[in-house]
Amino acid sequence: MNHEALPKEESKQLFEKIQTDLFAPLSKHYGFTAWIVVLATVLITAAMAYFIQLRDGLGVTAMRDIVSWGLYISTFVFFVAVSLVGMLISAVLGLLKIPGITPITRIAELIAIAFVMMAGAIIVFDMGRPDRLLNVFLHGRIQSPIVWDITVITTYIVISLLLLILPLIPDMAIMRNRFKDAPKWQVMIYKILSLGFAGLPEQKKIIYKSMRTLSILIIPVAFGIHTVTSWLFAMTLRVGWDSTIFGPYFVAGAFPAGVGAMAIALFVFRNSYNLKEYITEKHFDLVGKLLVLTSLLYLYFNLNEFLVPGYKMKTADGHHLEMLFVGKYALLFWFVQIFGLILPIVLLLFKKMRKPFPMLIIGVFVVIGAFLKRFIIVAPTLEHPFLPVQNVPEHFMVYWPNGFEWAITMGAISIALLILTILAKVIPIMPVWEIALEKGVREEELEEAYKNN
Amino acid sequence: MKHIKNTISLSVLLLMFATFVQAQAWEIPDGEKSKTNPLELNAANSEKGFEVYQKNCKSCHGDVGAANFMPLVPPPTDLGSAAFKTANTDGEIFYKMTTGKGAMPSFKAVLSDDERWAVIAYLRAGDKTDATVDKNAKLSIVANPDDKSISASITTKDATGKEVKLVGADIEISIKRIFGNLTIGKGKTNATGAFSVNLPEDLPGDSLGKATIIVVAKRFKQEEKIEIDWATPSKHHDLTAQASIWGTSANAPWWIMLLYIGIAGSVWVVIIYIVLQILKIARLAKKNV
Repeated sequence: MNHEALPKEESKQLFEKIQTDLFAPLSKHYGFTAWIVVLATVLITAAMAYFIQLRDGLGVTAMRDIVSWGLYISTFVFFVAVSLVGMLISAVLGLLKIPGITPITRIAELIAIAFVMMAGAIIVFDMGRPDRLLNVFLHGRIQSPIVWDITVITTYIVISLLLLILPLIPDMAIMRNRFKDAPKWQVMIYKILSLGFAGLPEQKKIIYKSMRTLSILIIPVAFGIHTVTSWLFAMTLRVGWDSTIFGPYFVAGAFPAGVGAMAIALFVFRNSYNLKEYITEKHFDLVGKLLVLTSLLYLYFNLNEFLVPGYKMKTADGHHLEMLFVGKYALLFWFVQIFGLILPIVLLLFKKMRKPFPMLIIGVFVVIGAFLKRFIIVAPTLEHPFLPVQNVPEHFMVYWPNGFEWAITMGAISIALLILTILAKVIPIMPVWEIALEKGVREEELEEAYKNN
Repeated sequence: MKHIKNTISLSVLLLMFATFVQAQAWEIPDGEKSKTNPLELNAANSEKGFEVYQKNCKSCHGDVGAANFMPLVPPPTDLGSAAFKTANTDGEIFYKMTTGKGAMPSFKAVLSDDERWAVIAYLRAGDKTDATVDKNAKLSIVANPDDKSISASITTKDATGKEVKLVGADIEISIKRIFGNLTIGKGKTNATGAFSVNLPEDLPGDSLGKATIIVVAKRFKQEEKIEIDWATPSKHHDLTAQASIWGTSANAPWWIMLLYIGIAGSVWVVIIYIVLQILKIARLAKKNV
């Protein structure tokens, strides 16, 4: 949506200002070092825990024969859920031509890539013998949802990377020409990533067309990634997993999780990158409304997922639901439902709550709720095996993650944040050329900036 | 409080009773002690006694000689133990069975005199088992494929050393299955000295129709096997050989293959197309220069 082109002089000044603002974070470091130190500390702790887990085996975790999926797998589901925001913002909102979303699309893509990559990695952390990883590919069975999951996650990573790289090509061309005095290796990277983009009409056409194609393609793939993740559970006969609505239930649950993460990221980048002019209160309002919409959808699925079996209370389902509603998981369950779902919906109906700071707080609650919800989906079911369990120690039948699992999980989260931080440090977090066009910078101004000389 | 008091007093009472039961000795009149078993100590009586024992005594006393009786206070004796058998005369055992004492019930109204004596015959037989077995007995089987029958008979030698077929001997015919033997017929040899059963028409054998028939004559400690090859051949479905969800990748059902390759393939075709397009950007740049 191009504004009317500005007068030449004004246009030139505006383009210069946009470039100055958006490229500034690449060289200025507000609190960057401190943040990296925090992440590195968590990472070192996690690395030590992982070393011990690797040396002594998965026995160091609280997982046993009966409950063999725990915090790692629930974190995996959480990561996949958060990563779906990339599709929601850049594809769905983009194709719907929602005005003014350009400044937040790349942030959504960065979140998607960072988290979906770690989703793949945490599966490896959950392996007692990661050296046998190759066997999954050598001897994987096409009938197994695990093989489908590997396929769809890989596909989603590739499409997300392409959706990140494509709109980055013109930006890289601008940077290649602008930062000629930068260190040689840096110039080299800009040169390679810009692919010799010079603003030729055919080149632009390819970028527009490919972006559009990928935006459409990523929607079914994103639905696929979370539906297949839900099938890892739903393709079994286990209580609490054996549900026909598990696919849409997971997809619907992924949206609030991702949008909540988006709210946090917007607040952080807006303040630390000094981008108040670009990420405006309007964006928070939009994200807030999106959170209400997606949360209502998720609430509807929750109603189906719990009310229908709860009305019938079949023997095994009954035990499971009692455990969640009034038993040992009741506190977690009601915290998640109230603070992670119902309260955010109610609060966000008020305009005052869709301002940056309230959005940050609500976003944090929604994300914590989403994280705990995945745990409630994974662990309690495994505590209810169908075959009677006899003659095993008590701690085989109940599960609560121990220090090793928490440390390694926190490590995985900090790697995801590290990927996000570094990517947001080396590339502009908004598509400069798209912002420029949207704000009314003249085409010829951009042509000049692209020129390969 | 009252509840606790009641519980305690009841427990004390029970404990005293238990001690009393244990301490009380059998008092058997002399006339009863000297009674002897009117039944002959032969295999028939012993077998009858065995059946009575299985139904009435085993639940507490366990298997004779195995000392696997119920853990009760006072403990039920292993009636096959040498200690029990030497300490008690036939008359004493009979008296105990008849009157009962404490936890040991009276069988006067439950079992006839003969049945009780038969049990004693069974208990005593253990000592003479080998002696009662007819060493000359020989079990033989004939399998007849025409009417699918199995016929068994027992031959032995009479006093003159002439071979005779036994009449009325117990025989059990069964077929060997995977987890045990399935009884097909059980009975006594008839007037001609044979016991025969017809196998069911559809009795399944292995894939070639082979099956093993086992014939047992317990009283003569005889067991014979015969292999027949005219049972109904059974087809085994190898569950991993067919297309299935649980099979290997090579045996995946066609519709899973179609869905997986179709969906993943079409998405990747588009991805590869886009990658080629991106590379075209670089090619166009070179051409332009």
